Amino acid sequence: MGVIKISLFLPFLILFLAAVPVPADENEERAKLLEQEKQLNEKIESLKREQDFMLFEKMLYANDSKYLILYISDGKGELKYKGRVLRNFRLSSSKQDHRKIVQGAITLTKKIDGAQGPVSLVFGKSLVLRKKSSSAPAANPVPRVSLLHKDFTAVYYAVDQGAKAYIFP
Amino acid sequence: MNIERLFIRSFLAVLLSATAVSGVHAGDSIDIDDLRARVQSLKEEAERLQDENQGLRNMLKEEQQDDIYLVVDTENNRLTMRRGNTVMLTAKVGTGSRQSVKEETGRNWLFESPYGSLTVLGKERNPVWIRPDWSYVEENMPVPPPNDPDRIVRDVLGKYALILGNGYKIHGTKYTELLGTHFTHGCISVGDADLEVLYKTVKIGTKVYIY
Repeated sequence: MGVIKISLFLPFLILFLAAVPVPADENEERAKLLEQEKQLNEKIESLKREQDFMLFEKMLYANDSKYLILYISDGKGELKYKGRVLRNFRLSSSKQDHRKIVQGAITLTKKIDGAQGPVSLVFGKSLVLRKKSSSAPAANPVPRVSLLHKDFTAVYYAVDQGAKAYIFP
Repeated sequence: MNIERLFIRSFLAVLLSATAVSGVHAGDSIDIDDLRARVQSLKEEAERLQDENQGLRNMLKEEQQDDIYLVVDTENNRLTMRRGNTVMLTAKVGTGSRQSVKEETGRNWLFESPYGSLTVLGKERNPVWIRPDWSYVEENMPVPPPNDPDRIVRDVLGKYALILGNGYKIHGTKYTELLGTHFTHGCISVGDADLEVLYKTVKIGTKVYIY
């Protein structure tokens, strides 16, 4: 009887041992490779973003128009021409607006003037630059960035429709 | 203990230890050779991008110039002397009034500072003002012939001037209380102290960006 039971168990045992996964060292290697893959993907994304900006700058070096570089997290911006800084300025945005900002090149599509002077610079659906004191609808799908009055006025008159800007969120 | 129970216990022990060693991994279904190949391919892509980026960095560095340049902000009437991101001097200036004058004959002049990229073409000590036609028209005076000595006026442009071409200069002024406003006929007026620094620092060929 006992022999019969053993004989019944044996195939299951053989089946089980055949399916036992790979040895410990291969699993360790797999885990390391997966982690490496993740890190390499992140590194590649970062390198691509860096390249995107450098290609933007290279293009604007040869261009005959002024452009903006906006470092949103750092709260700084630059008005530039052919790679030279014409003006540094400070900028600010709400946390809500900051979350909507995506790194990349944008184009000035509209300059809005009001009775009391320049109001805003609209970069399509990507961004609106405005004077710090400007009021705007509370809920706005387009993220807004504010500049001090003097800086905004200087930048407003310096750039023309079609001017480029590059944002770093 | 009978052999049957011994066998079952051994079997369970093997089952437990095998599970502990192998674990249950999400990537267990990925072939390790494929994974190695993917990682290798990503490493090569990362290296390629790094090389490309270094090339771009070098190119951009070569195009960047480390020399001094001037920037005139006509909205806020400020002139800055810069070397890259370093501001060496900020001066209150006067820029074009944006007013215009019209003569009966039909000639008219708009007094605006020249926007764009200019170059310092020359430097002068004790510059002399040669009165242009508009200065007579503005005062409702008859316009004298071009070489009339009456057109030569001294001691109104300060001690120094930087020549920008087309009649425009960066020069001094007697109206220092107006610095920081739009009051000139297009030239950039600077206070004496700042003008001296500019004259002594700036070279012929220095770029001037006016916006």
